[in-house]
Amino acid sequence: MKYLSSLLGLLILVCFQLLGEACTKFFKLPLPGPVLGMFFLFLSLFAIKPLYNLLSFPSHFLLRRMSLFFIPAGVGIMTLLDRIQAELLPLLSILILSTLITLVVSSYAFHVIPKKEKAHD
Amino acid sequence: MIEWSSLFWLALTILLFQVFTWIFHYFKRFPLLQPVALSIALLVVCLLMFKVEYNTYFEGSRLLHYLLGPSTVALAIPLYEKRAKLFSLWKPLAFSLFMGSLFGILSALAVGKIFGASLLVLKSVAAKSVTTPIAIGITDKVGGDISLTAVMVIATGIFGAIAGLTFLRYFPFKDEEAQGFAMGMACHGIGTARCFQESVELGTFAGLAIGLNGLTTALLLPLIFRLLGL
Repeated sequence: MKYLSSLLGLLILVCFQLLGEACTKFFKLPLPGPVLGMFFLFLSLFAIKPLYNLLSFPSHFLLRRMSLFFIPAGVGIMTLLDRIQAELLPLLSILILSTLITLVVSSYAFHVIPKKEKAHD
Repeated sequence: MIEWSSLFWLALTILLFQVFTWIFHYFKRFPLLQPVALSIALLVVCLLMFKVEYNTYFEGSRLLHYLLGPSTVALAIPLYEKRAKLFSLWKPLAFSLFMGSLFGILSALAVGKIFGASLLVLKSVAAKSVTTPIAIGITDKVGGDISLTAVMVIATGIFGAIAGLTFLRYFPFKDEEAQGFAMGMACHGIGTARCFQESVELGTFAGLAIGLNGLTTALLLPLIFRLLGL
């Protein structure tokens, strides 16, 4: 039963991806289809309550193994070794500086806005 | 039909990832032993050694690549599970999200420009702080190289996981909400895993940033590229 519903869950995930892809194609949005699909699914979870129970298991199954899925793309780096060697300095600089800048800006921005008071409930 | 050699590489990919995952857990999730990074490195070495074309490799492992789409959609589930935190702190979250995403993109482009990066590199690394499947989607849209993106995103995650929290200690924003969220903003899932080693609160806020930054950067990045005329 669990596996049958997982298959149904996978079907629903693929349908949301399809919906996202179709919308980005149709409206010529510069957004990746699956990202729009994620957004649609997030909204749908509030509207259709049983959706969560159906998707919880297959989603966590995929997410726990997600890093396996980007190995094929990552291995493509073998075709770019010359380029990396030539641009090692900019790549390393971006890696270090931009990551640290993002960390500081994000935590500072989070800090400057006063949190909503939770006084009422 | 898939050729047997393609199928062999698919099997080897899954096997290596599993073995490196065991090693990673054995060494208490030390960030430098990231299974995905070690798997990619070893696979590249093997492919080069045996003079196998990347196309042959990708032919078989494409099966795994296709699961990136549904996995991206599935990111809505953890976001939904944390909706209470999302709504109670929506103001600081929204501001941090916007600023972090904007500066993440702009700082990558600026630093790259200063150090003389080519246009292809700029296009491929601008989304480096976003979770890999989304970063790949974004890079594909702006015409960068998705392999460079995948490697850069993973490297960013590893660097952030090792140095991020220590670096943040030198700044006066000590609350776990801000630090956790910043870690998720800058170094996605790998940074989040590192946060969970410290505390659940830190990890939860980092996890919140993964999907949100993916969505925000997917919206902002093409816009910025258009404005800058890249």
